[in-house]
Amino acid sequence: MPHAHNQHLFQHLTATSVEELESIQERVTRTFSSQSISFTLYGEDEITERIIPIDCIPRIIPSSEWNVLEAGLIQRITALNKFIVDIYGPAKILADGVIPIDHVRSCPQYRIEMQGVSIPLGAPVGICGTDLVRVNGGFRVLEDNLRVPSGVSYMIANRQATKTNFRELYRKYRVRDVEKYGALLYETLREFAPSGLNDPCIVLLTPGVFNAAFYEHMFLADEIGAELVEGRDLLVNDGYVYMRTTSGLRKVDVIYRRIDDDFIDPLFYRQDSVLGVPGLMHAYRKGNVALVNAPGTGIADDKSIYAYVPDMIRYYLSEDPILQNVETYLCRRPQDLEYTLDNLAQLVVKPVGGSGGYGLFIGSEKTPAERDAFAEILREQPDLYIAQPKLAISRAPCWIERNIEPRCVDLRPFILTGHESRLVGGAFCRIALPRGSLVVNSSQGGGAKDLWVVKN
Amino acid sequence: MLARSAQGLYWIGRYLKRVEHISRLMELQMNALVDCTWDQIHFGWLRLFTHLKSAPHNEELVNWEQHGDSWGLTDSFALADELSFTLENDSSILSCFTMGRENARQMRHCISSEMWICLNKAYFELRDLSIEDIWTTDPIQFYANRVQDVNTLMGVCAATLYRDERWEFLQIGRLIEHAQLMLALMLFQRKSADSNEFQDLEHYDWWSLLHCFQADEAYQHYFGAKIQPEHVMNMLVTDRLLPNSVDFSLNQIAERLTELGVAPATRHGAMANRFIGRLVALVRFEWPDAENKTRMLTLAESLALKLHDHIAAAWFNYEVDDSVRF
Repeated sequence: MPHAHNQHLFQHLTATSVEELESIQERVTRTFSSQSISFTLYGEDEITERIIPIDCIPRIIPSSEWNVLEAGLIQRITALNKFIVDIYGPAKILADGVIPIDHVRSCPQYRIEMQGVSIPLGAPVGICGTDLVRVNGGFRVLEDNLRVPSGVSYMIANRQATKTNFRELYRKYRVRDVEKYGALLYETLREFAPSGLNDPCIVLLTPGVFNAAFYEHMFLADEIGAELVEGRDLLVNDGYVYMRTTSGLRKVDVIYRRIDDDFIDPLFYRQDSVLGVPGLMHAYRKGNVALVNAPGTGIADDKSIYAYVPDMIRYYLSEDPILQNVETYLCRRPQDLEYTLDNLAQLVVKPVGGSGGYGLFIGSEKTPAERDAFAEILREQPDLYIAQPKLAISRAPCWIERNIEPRCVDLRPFILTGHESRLVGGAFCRIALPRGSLVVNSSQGGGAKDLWVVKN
Repeated sequence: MLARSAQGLYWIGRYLKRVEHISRLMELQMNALVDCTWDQIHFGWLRLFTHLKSAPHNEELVNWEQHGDSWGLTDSFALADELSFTLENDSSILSCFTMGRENARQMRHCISSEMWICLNKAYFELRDLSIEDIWTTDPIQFYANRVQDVNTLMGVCAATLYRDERWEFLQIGRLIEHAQLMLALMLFQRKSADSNEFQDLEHYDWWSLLHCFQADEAYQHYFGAKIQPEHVMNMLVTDRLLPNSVDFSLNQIAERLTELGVAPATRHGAMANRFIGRLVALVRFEWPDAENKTRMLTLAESLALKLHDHIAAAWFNYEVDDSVRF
């Protein structure tokens, strides 16, 4: 029997013919293709602009469950922000031995240039996307994305495409709104403006049209009424950032940057970067422009630091974590490495600095010879890997080839933090499309579906 | 607005106007294949490629003069493919549509969602076709549909785009492209009329051009049914009421530049205004009395190219030292 919150959906699907559902799926897909709602995939030889596969059947979560998630996510981002400010400042958490100092300082995402920089609002992470999965009846945090998380545009596009095709059901469920995300994002970015400017000039900095998430950059720039700029559109003069407009140079106050740290300023980071703005970090350090998210936030979403987030929550907030992590083995610890090597067939091994589902080693899907070869790599470079148990991720009904079939799903809510943390009642819900697959990442061919947070 | 966004909109206007212009002439050429003489067909292809400053990729087609041959019916399939679906040819309809759509993809936040959906739909329809698909069915209708696609898009644009700089730059791009292509076309036409090779073709060519640019009815109204090349050219160049005339485009460009006001690079902005003023004066006041129309068209074509350069330098790619700060 379906859960109580799925009753209406179950009844609706039961009463709908195969032809009708197929027709709804076609309409939803057509909405995405006519607007080219896409994600760019990088193959070996070519770059493909891929329309995100959307599933028409919504996933339902009751408000009672969502409220717990919301509280847990706000608790988590509060602790993570305090951690980042701390380690680029007094580093008390390291001095107190809560996290080993070498785990932080040896991490490639640790940016020495951020040492001593005053971070506006004490919130280096203004926009966070946290990946959650449901296992054995409870939600677990899979990872925090604190650098340039993407997917929120698909959350809104999913809603716009889905709700018009399930009008009665949507009204019956009294679904929480996600379309106000743009207004909340604008408000958050505005709060970061230097000297409390009321009407700051906000821009969204994109690497350009070849970036995987370019559609999202364009979408969000439109939502917040900001110019979508590339590095070549900006310049720094006298410690201030300007953009080239048709009326001359205009001072920029807040940059919602969607470029990785490495490329943001060739004078500070990668010298061969043509995507960034020379001198941008200088202007940022002087407090003349706000960067959201701040450089250096990657230190807190490195997979080897992830294991310490519950400790951070206890340390900074004196609270118990509301949301639990997935059990994680840090291969840099000898006992964890030994456990990983002994149980490789049951574990998923991930590179610590990886994202997008790249570089995953799923032990159960490999041959003994492949596991032996990978064990050698682990022994040689244990610092670069973590291991987690293979999870029995919850599945949701999806419309696959004229049938309703279960597929593994996760969800990525987006938490905005300015003066306070806030989030809309919804998330980007990803699907692992092949039967039995656990990989939901868009860059690995994953799909999406709408997530409805409904009144109990 | 962001200078690069303005540039993107300008190029959307240019590429889509080029699609429309080529499609109109291709439709004309497809009609010519039905019942025109061998010479007329050859002339039509030559006119298309020459005024677009393009050439086919097929070597035999390029060197037709050396082979002592000319472009006739048998070459038409390959030539039509060149100007319709060959992505390697910058002047093909698919190339121009692809570039226009690519600019729009980067500027989606600057155009209306209706425009994007309309453009995208037309692009996908075109992208999925090939010369084989259209050749044996109805090539004339295919090109007519492309003209209709662009007109529909421009209608959606007129109905939905906010009338700020976005509108102005898109319109300026469209109008400059039109002026440049029309001047190049008139120049080719004029030179051909002066040469011995195409003397017998006059009536058909001039009449077809009037028809192509929707000037045939107005022409008949003012000049009757007899085709006089001088009248046709005057009409296509100087008629202030004809939306496809050179004068109409130039006048609109001047108005749009006035709307934009002072450019960030003031010197180039002033030069752009000077060039458009010079072009309008040339077409409106010097043209009627000019004895050597070929020289006038050559001069106008060169001024129109420079006008583009100054607009780009004034608003899109200006030097920082030249610019106004606020």
